[in-house]
Formats: sequence, structure tokens, C-alpha cells
Amino acid sequence: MIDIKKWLVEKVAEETGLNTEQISCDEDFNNFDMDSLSIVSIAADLESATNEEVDPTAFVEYNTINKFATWISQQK
Amino acid sequence: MDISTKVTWNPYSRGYFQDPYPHLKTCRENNPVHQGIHEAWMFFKHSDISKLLRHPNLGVSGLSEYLKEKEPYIFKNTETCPYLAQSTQWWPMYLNGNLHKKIRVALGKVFQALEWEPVILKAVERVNARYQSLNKFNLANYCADYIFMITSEIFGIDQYGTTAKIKEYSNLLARSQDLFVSKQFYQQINTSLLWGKQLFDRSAYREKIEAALKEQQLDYTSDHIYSLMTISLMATFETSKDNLCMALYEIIKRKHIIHLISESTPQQLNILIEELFRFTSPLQYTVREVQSPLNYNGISLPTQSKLYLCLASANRDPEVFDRPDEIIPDRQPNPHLSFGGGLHFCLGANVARLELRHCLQPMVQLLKDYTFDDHGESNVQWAKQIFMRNAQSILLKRNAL
Repeated sequence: MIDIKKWLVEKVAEETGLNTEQISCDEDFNNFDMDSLSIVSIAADLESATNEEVDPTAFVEYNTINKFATWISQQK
Repeated sequence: MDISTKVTWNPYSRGYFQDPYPHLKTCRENNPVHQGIHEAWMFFKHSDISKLLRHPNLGVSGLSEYLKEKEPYIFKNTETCPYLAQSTQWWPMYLNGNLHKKIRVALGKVFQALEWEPVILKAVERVNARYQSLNKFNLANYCADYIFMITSEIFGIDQYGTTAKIKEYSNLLARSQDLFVSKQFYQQINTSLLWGKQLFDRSAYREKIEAALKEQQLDYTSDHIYSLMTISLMATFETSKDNLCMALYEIIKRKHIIHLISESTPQQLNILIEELFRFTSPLQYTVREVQSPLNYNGISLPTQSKLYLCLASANRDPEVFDRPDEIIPDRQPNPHLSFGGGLHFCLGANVARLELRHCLQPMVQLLKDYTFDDHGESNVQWAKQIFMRNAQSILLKRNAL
């Protein structure tokens, strides 16, 4: 099983071009300098990595890495 | 009710892909105009949508322009040749103004001059002959095979590639217009678009399109022609098969309609076909873009605002349709919006009507002996598509004697 929080930090770093140390887990996804397709693409990658369906709109409600990772862990 | 507690449109709400109508009903009744989960404006009522489809301040939004803007992101760190924007550049449902008018005239003329009827009649016979000995089959494949027989003959594409690959190609083209499409999926669509470049090399339809463009005095390149070929194929194959599949699925659930179809006069059949278009709404949404600042019912909409018009919801609006969630075979009048409206009214509407007119009676003759396999109608596999609703699998089995 993957560590969702660590995985998301790496993905957001990849999408923004920042180092993982520069990614705050309490920052709203909207505040990262990402393309508007980034979140949907992260959701698609997460689906492949976990083999579970991922709702891309959940990133709106659970809008930080911490909130999203907590929500995902509660789904299991 | 406080606005913050009102429902927000979200196609990922529970059960949406299986049946979007309960969610659409809640939106229409509780929050008929609002900004959806994707923050664009959503409209659910027939009265709003029929007005907005013809509103002079609204145009369609440019798909090709959007894809052009996104290509650097989609293909970042890849060796792929971006082809998304180019191959969608002349899709008429995303064009405005004079170019739209000319392309619509050109495509319309070619469509009208094609010999659809004998091709359709032959396809119905062939598809029934292929399936009648089967004890079990997938209704989605049955519909796709029928429409593919028509499409491949009309466009002259059956000599190239496999049927499965062409069907996948058409589906990917359709999904290029959907919401929440990831970059990985756009890359897959791009690969398919590049693969399909030779699909129409020996197509007589292609020559007809070129002649029609010359008549309209339009300058064109081979990419423009390819763009028109892709949209012709996708619009003819994808929407028609989805529409037919949804219609037959609803008919199989209602045995009295099977009987009614068998006994119908051509005129009664035409009225029922319109009702099936209303009920199934294969194209569930259409998008319009504000061209100059607009105040609509107190809502300020700046230029370039995108308005999502939910045709599927409008078609179930009780303010317009009595008992909207029922199929009423003799419903008249039937001002459904399944083909959109205004300047961008569906170009293939009459072909879709013709396909149903000729296939319904022979198809129900075959399907009356079948029922849903395994766990009944709940066993249907619905595609995760928002704009164009369809089922990937509806398993049928022959009734026990």
C-alpha cells in the first residue's frame, strides 16, 4: 500500500517544479502554481497507483494534501 | 434555503454514472442556475436552456483553442507530436461566425446527398442475421455493430484497421470533449488521432467533402479535411450507437412498448422515436460561451464565461413535459432539446431519425425473445462519461422456451 501523503507531495512537486521540501501539506491545492488539468491528472495517476477509483472532484472539498490523505485513509 | 446549503452539480456524486437523473432533478428543483463543482455556470430548466441555445450574446466555446492552450502541459517531457488542436480545428459544433456557417453548409450538403436509406436497410438485415442465433449477447455491441456497418460503408473505412480499433478511435474522439479529462487520457486520444490519419485515404466521402469546401470557397489543408472526417465519423457513429443502445435498453424494460412498436404505423413510430430521443438524451450537456458581457436573470456573466446547459435535465422538466420520467409513446407536442437548438442544431439529427425509423421494428422483433442476463438491469456497466451517456455492457439472454 502506498503512503498517500508522501505520494501526493511528490506529485505536486512534479507538477509545480518545486522541491518536495517546499510543498506544504496544509496549502490549498489552488494556491500551487499548477495547470488546471493537474488535479485531474494527479487523480488519474493515483487511480493507477492504488487500483482504486478516485473522484477528481474530491480535491475541491479536501483541498490540501493533509485533508485529502486523511479522507482517503477514512475511505478504507 | 441558504444558498450555501443548496445542492451543487457534481457528476461524481453517488450513482451518477448509473443514473444521472435523480441528481439532475435535485439540481433542477433546488438550484436550477448555479456554479457547479468545476465553477462554471450550470443551467437545468427547459425554459432557460431553450432561450440560451438561441441567445444572440452566446457562441460556442472553442475546443481546438482550449486544446492548443493545453498542449504544452499535456505533452511536456514527451516526444509526442501534438495533434489534438489541429485535428479538432474544424469541428463545427465548436465554431462560430462565417466559418461555422460555411462548414455547416458544406457538411450539410454532403450529408443530404448521401444514400443513407439502402445502407441502413442492409445493415439492419446484416446485424440481425449476425445475432439471431446467439443465446447471449451484449446489447451495446449489437447497436455498435449496426451503426458501424452504416458508418463504415458511408465513409468507406472498412478496408483499414480493425473494427475494434475504429470503435475505440471514435470513442476517444467523443471523450476529448468531456469534462475532467486527464493529461494521460489526452495523450491516448492524441495517439489515436495520429493513428487515424490514414483511415480516410480511400474514402469517397472525403472527395465529396473537398468538393463541397471548394463550392464554399474555403481554403483548406489536409489537416482541415482530416478534422472534418474525424467529426463526421464520431458524430455519425458514437452518438447514433449510444442513442440506439439507450433506447433499446429502455424498450426491453417495457414489454408493452415492444408490442406497440411492432404494431405502429410509420407516423406513430416517428412520434415514439422523438419520445425516445427526449427520454434518453444521449448528448446530456452542451456548452455556450458569453461573447459580450451579459446579465441573465440578475446574474452578471462576463465575456468568456462558460455556460453548461443540461439538455438531459431540460428533457425531464415537468414544467414542459407531463410525467417526464415516463416514456409516453404518443407524446405530442414534444419540444425536447436532444439535438440542441439554434445555429448549432445537430447536423446529423435526420440521419439519427432515419436509422431508428428503419431499425426499431426489425430489432424489437429479435429482442422480444431476450431479457437481461444475470442480475437483470442492475448488471449494466455504464461508461464514466459525462457529456455523452452510454453503456459499455448490457448483457442479454434468450428467454427460456
